[in-house]
Amino acid sequence: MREIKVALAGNPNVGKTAIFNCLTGMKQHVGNWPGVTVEKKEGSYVYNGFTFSVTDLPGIYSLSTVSMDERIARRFLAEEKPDVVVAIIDGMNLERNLYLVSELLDLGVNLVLTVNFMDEVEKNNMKIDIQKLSKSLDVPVVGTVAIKGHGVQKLKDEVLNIAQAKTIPMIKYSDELERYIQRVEGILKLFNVKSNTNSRFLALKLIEEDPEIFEQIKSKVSDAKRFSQLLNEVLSDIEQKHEDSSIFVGDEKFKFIKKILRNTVEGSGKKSETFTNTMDKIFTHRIWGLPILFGIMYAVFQLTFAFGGIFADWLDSGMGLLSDWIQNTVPNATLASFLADGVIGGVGSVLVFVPNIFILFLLIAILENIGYMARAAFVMDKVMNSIGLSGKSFIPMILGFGCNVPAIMSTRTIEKEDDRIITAILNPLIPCSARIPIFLAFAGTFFPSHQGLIVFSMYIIAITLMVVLAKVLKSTIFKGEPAPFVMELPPYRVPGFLQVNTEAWKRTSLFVKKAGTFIFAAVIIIWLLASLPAGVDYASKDSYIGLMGRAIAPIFEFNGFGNWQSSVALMFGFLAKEVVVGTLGALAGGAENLGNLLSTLFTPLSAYSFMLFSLLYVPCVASLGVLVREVGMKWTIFSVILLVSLAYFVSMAFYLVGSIFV
Amino acid sequence: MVITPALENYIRVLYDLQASEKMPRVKHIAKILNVKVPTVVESIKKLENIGVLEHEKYGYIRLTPKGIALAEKIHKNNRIVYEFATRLLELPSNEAQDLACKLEHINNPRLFAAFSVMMSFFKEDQELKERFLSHLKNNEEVFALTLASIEPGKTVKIKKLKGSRTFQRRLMSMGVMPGVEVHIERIAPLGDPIEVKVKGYRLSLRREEAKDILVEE
Repeated sequence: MREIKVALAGNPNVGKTAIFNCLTGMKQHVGNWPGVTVEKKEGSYVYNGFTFSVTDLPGIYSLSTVSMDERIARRFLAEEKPDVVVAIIDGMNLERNLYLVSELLDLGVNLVLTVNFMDEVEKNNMKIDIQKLSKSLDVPVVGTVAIKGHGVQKLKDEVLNIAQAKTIPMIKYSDELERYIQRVEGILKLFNVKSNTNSRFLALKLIEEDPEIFEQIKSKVSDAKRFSQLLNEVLSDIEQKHEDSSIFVGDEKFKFIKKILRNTVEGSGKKSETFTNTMDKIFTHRIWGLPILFGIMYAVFQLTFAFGGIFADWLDSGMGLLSDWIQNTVPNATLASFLADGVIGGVGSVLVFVPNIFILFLLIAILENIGYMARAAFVMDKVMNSIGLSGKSFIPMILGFGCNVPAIMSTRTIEKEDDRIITAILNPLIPCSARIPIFLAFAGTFFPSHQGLIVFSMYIIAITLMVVLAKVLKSTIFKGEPAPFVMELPPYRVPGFLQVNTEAWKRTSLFVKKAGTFIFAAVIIIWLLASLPAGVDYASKDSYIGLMGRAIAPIFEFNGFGNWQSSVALMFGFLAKEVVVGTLGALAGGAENLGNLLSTLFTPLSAYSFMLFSLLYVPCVASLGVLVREVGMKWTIFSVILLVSLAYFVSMAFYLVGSIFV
Repeated sequence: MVITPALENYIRVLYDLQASEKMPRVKHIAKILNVKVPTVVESIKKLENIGVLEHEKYGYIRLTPKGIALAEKIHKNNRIVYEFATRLLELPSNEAQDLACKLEHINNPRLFAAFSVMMSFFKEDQELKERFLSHLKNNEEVFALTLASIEPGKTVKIKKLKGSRTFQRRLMSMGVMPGVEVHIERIAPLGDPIEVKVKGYRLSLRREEAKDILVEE
């Protein structure tokens, strides 16, 4: 049995990921801002005895190579040669969406066209004649409502059918353009250019003067000079009649698209248009736009910490009771210590913050699905521009509050390489949800009456430092023009209750899973190190962990936390930031004892200094892994050195200056 | 007293009428210039005071030699600009006429002499003309209307894209290309970027980028 390779392609924000989820049953993340799928995702399904492996490509507008996303998608389509390409287009915006489809047809792929958002099309009293569309493009077309799974069965049928098809459809342009295509194809043949991409596509891209394709082919031909010369002859012939060869090709494509749409679409998206207009009037209001943005961010903050805190407290007391119960009922003292001190103390101290984290992810999911993220970027662009970045860098910033890993990945939509690197390497400064346990544990113990303010100050400090560093990097290492800010503002959509909850839970469960595996393992090691060598008191300074801690501790003397417990916590915190609290919890012998331990180790001043250090130093192994993949080893090392020294010196400066006053 | 373009138009009409040997009357002039009779009477009085024409009460109007000289100067200016605009700038006749009617009133002999000299220069040297035109083409965009200067609520048509190839390609793949209509929706709270609607969807662009999109109303 053969495996059939299927690729999903389409503009950003057309529901590719939703279709992917419907096909494969996997729960990928769905959002409503351009660029949710920032790397290709893979899954598979079995249908009629065939296995289909599906790749969800990032959203792109064309097969040119403007951003990294587009390069990834083009290379995949041209080089991996999927058996079937499912092109997904937005039923509310056929004209622009069909541009990419025309390029896919030029590429000569086995295409199934999916018109998504058919429910919105109906709601707006529009009519799309699927049959006519299919006939005029010569490809099978399926109408879907991906979020509800409508039309997916039909899509699977068509994918199966087309996978066995022999002929590949092609768009015929005007005789004039066809003549030029033939001429360029002739040149390619003359130079015996061998490529796994079809020559028609290459010819069109050469006429469009695509730099990547041109360089790629030039490097293959024997006489590059002669090749350029012949190609230039064709181009100058075109430019005698048309102002610009690439606009000439674009014009031809849109002419073709308009001709098709004339017979297939009736009506326009008035209703959804009005809704988006009204919402935009509020969210991007000249005066209220910015206050609303800050209001929303403040509300997210309050709900996450104040409201989420109520549930976290319940969980905390529950953990305490559980730990007591274990101590009293488990007969074996070692086992009881392991369960109560190690497991409940370590993993429990982290798990109590699940409510906070769930609420944060829920709110982010709601904002994403409504379509607010792009507006936030729109409203903030001028501010971001003043530090040398674009509004597109603002989205990774917001996502970073949830988790730095997807935030770093989402920098791929940023077109300019320099800006992308700055946004990525500074993203760890955004306090992710894993740092919440540290802030809350310390603020709760040392500043019970000003807890909110203290936590809020962490966020303000992190963002300020990020802005300053971005500005410094932009004016030293990454000098250059600001990147363009051409960004689609998607229509507002009312998010489904189930959908946002599923998403928030999916991301929270990753946190829980991390607590159950990664942190659990770390905790066992810490418990062992704290209990050995045999005979020492649990978590005493003579245990192995105590010895390790005491070796490092002097480094932090001037930061105010030269005790061995902090050093160990920070060291293990490198695995994941939650582990900082997990370690201290395990050393304290239970979540409910954490406060007592902290009070003996820290003063309010050194506690704040410790919070600052944890806020700023290297995020975690996972985010470093992503950084290496996204910006390379060199910049990752740069980021690590930058962040660790920042953490060290900022907290030291704070402690030393603070000591004068306290 | 300064002779305004409006008053100069009277002189031109009178000159044309006199040249075709028609004796001009107030009513007649009012019809040609499409203004009311009292307006004409008032203007004629002003011109009479400066001494460019003579007017018998309820009778014919006649330009004085000073008036004729002025009219001839205006006519000459008009012809030079018209020819410059049609032959060199290759403007359509109506646009050239419009331009000529506006520029003819400028009292700067040197400027018109320059137009005239340029024409004869280019007639002699075809290569020079080509070079001049190509420089002109590159420079006229500086003065052209761009998307950045359009107010929210207006719809304009894209004439041309400028800027880097990458930028142009990005815009094109999103359907923003010559011939397409763009509606300016709003400006961001801090004055930048702008939100436009094109092909039924919304797009955010910086002012700096909008400057690279030449438009016409």
